[in-house]
Amino acid sequence: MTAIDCDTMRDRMPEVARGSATWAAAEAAHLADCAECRAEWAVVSSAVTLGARVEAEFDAAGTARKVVARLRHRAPAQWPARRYLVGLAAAAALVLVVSRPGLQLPAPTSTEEARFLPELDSLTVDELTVIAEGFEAPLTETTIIEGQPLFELDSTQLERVLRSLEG
Amino acid sequence: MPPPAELTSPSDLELVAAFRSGDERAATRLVERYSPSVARFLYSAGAVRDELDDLVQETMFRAFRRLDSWRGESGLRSWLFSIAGNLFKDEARKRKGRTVLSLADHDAPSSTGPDHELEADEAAERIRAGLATLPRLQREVFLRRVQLGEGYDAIAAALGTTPGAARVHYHHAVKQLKELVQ
Repeated sequence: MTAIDCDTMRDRMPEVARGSATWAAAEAAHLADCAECRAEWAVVSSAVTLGARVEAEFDAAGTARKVVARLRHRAPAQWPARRYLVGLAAAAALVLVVSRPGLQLPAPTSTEEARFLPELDSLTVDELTVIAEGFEAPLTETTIIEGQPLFELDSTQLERVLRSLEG
Repeated sequence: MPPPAELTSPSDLELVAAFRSGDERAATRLVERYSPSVARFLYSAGAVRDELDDLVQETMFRAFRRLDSWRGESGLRSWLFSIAGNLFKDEARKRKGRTVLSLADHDAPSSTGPDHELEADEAAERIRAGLATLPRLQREVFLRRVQLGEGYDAIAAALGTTPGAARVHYHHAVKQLKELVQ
């Protein structure tokens, strides 16, 4: 066996297969001696050709026309989604503000106003805090998972946000 | 002597800047420049030919919508591959349970070429079918390393992992693909 090791061969294979380098004499000798490297070379050298015909035959001009046409109409197309998302964002913001610990809400001015969510009347402040935190978690999780602003979510992702809000 | 300005091709950064200032032709040039390699990447990853046009179109459209998030540190093509990879993953998730690609439904190699070309096509198609069965990171690390020639640092940055982990993913991908080709 030659002085070249298999890790070195592995690192060199992609560039040799792509034609941007050639085997040195010692590397060629290793390849001739090492069945594992020959098997790996068969994979890499075949994978380099994978999809070459697709790339050569792809209708780039036609795709460009379609993409540009969509970009021209992108603002009107986004309006319905934006209206929906503005409402959603406002609701989310309200939940976050209301659930902030220590927030002092103005006292209700009448008995009717105080009973807009009567099922919460019997809960303690700590219990209400736990409920409020339960609202915050899914919103945060959704934002982190997707790593996208709300207006870029697709319909599936929006459904997940809605489901998380609805519990 | 530098070549005349009309003979030089504008860089990606120049085209992106032109697009941001409202030049539609810049968008056309960027799509024409990169959509074929995005199509190849998606096809290699297991996308079927009938869906390539839509997938590439959506990839490019998303890219223009998110152009502000491309900082120019990674190449535009590498960034487009990341968007394409995410899109392909989402599409695969939507049709969970449906096979994206099998050995039986690959595009038949051309029957007009010499025998060795046929064999090469068949080996490549076996690899393609194998790639479709790999975990996403293994598949994308392998394709970026082999087809783009990216180093592990660049791959790690593009895929949100570490260079060491990218190397391990590549090793695992090759190990499994070897068994298909042998």
